[in-house]
Amino acid sequence: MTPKGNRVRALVYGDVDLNIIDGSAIWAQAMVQALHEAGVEVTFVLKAPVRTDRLVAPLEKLPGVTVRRLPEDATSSLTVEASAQLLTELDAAEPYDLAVVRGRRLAVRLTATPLAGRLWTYLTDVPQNVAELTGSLRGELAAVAKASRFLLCQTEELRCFLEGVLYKAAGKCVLFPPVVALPAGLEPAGEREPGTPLKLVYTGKFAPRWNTYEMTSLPRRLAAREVDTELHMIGDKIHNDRTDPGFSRRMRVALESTPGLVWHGGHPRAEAMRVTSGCDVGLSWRHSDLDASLELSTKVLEMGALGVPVVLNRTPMHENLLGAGYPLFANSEQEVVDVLAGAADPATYARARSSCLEAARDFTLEAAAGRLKRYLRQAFPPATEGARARTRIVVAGHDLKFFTRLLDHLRSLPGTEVRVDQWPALGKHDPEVSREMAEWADVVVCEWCGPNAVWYSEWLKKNGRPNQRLVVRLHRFELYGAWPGRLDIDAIDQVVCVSPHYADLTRKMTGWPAGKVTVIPNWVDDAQFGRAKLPGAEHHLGVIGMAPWRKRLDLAVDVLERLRRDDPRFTLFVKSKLPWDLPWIWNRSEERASFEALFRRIRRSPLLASGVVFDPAGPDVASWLRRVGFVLSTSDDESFHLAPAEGMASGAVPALLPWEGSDRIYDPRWIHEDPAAMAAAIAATVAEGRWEDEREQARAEVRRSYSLELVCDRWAELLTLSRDGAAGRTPTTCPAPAPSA
Amino acid sequence: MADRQVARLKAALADREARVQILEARVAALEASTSLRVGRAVTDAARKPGKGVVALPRELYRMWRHRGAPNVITSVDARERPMFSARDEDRLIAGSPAAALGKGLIVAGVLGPAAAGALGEVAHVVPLLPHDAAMVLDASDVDLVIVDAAAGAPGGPWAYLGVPGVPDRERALLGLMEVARGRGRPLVLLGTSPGLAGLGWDATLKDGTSLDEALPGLCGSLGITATS
Repeated sequence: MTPKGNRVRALVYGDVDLNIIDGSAIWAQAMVQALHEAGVEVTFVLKAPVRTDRLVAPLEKLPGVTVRRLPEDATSSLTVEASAQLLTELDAAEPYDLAVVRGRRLAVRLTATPLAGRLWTYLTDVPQNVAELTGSLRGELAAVAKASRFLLCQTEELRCFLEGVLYKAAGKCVLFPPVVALPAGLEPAGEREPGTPLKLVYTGKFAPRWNTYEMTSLPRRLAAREVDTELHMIGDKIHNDRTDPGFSRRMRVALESTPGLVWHGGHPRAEAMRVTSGCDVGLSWRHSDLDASLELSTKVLEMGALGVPVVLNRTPMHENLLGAGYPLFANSEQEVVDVLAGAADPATYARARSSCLEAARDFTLEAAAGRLKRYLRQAFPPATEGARARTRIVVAGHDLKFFTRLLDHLRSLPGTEVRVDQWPALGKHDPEVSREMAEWADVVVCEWCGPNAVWYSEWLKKNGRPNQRLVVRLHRFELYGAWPGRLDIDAIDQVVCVSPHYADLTRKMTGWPAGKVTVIPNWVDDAQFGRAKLPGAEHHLGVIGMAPWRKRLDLAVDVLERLRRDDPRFTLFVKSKLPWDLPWIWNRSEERASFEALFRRIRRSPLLASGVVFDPAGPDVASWLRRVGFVLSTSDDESFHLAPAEGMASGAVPALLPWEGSDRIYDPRWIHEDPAAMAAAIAATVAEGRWEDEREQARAEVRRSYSLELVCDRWAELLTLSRDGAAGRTPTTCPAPAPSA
Repeated sequence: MADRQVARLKAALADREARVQILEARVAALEASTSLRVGRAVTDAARKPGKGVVALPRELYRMWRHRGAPNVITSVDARERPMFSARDEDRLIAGSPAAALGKGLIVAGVLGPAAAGALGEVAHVVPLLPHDAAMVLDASDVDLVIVDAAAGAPGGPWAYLGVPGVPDRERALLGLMEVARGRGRPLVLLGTSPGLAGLGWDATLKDGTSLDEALPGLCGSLGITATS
């Protein structure tokens, strides 16, 4: 449901021609079907005049789906400009809640239209590495990221790449892998019949980097290994390669004359899949140049869905898809011959087939609809039960970095209207603006208990309406300042702390009534952080943020030093601003002296010099954490310390030193007495093979306690419930979740 | 890399400004010098034969009277000279600490443990880390740069170099490659990795190549004349 309580309306446009049934056309069809499955009302705009309605007709039968065809007399497809104009006009006539678009050029064009902000963009033609990313491309992609509500990424690799090169993309990138739909009447093939020739199949274009010519030698080479083989090749596009002018002729001759090779020529997708389903092993072995691709071959997935195991290159992406132990990985012609000879073994074949079938299950239409439902729930969350029909919320503060996602959530809620009183500095604001906001609001949230809280509490006490409420969020920093002492607590409905320890400390230091102080913990976007770890991450420690000195990077280095004495694979990655990037820290002589001594220690130690890596700070923490197996928290004190929670959500094991209150946020099992104990625990976890198990437990724990959805719901309850309901809430009715609850 | 360039340009600008200041001070000092003033007084007198010739002896007398006064402006020259200001070219005459170790070849490397060990037998190795590679290379006088694909294996500082979807490592590599190319230092790839192959190497060595054995031939083919 939308903020107005209506059914979500989506505009869908793929820069694809649905008369040609290829991967992109299937994508467009599947996107419409998946949105429909997710309960969305869809208007699907076609790019090209309909010549065959094989893909379009089923969509037109779906209730709530409108297919907008081009006029019957149209002779050509829509240009980017024309399609942008059409989409904008449709939206102007009857606004849509979101617009799903595919293709970079169109997305760039739409950034300058009123659809900006509502785009769900599926980028296809993006650079595959940093070297290909020119300045103008970066600018285009940044504009698209800014204008998009979500960037739909085909693979985890593409998501991490975009987040790493475009900070604006961080937090907006979500996975939307290819959708594999089997043509009607086609089912996965059964087990291979023993004693029959091994039928290999390739489908697609014939090109040097696709190793199609090399494949033609497989029947001969396998015959030499006493494996009776047939090779079926489907396709009629033979690439003319400038760097290899003889390829086209050579390939054609091989297709026409190789013994054991059956060339089927070009076939529609359904027929190609039917031929494929009658074969035993698919071939998707390519030149190593393509191993760095950020895209996943849809054909591999289609073969998998048909129960036809595939020979393909061993790459991190493919290992992630099929598991490192998949038996049909091959990176050279000799390896292809070896694994195919091995596939003659029924047990090996069955294992490969089962892995492919299992992997394909993540790419069904149902899986795609499930993903879209999650994203829709995030973009259009349901109203809180018992919420007032209309709540006007003002969020006031100078630094909203700890409130951003909550703000997004509040803005998306049906029945809420949110305005932000952005103070330019801690103690600076425009009183006229603040006064106007205060008059307008039903609820004011002061992010940070600073001068903003003082100003709003004084104003509301003098001028406020009886039904207006003031909620103040207090972090560690303000507790030791003068502002809490200047607050009139009677004018405040609720003070929110992020941890039970700081709530207790706040009550103790301020003397405020216990019921006024409540705990809503920090949030972790567990869906964003929950990504597959990179192989070998169990030897990688991570620290997020090293300044000021009380973060105690030196203690993390102590841990590393102990670990590297026995195993030099342990490496510490520090994602942080450097202390000299923060003048308020670097200008303090004791801070500077401590850091200088630490860096000198690292430089001069043979054990540490190549064991500590300083990675730049940035919002790409979720993708960075893919490399980290243990997230350390070695601070002297923290109010919450989000880093261990983010690490847990990413599937890393947290390791904390006992700063005060840590045991009331994190399970004591993750807290170690000192660096020596922490190092011993990490070493034992890895050596005893418990890392996988422990990280799963940590991930489950953080989901239970600090998931974004959970925390957003708590805030929504606090801010949108009627005053009577809210007044009844005390720390006992709105408690911080116990870490192991 | 951009930061580094900005820093270098800032340093160069500061150096130029310091030089301009010095030159301005010198011009001012010259203008204040007795020789110039005498010359000016004489030429002014020549330009104005009547009044000028009458005033000339008085002007020369005044100069003679102040002949012993310190030239304040000249002393600015020494006072305002910066304590340290390095230009990019200054590295051409700077000593190289690594060269003093006597191993002849100096190789900067993104290296896995095996390659680092083998290379250390025959050359002085300057190890590069993701966070310091461009800076260290910029400050070092190396003969060549070797990037070992095996350095991208987990359990080392360059873990996941060449792995798709890890752009920070690729960016660090591109940064050091830019510095090496700027210095005309050959870039050599050892082994293969999906994301490294197409980056424009001056030479490639097959996976498993023994660096200590291959180095002399490699240097020969790259025209590197340093000897061990």
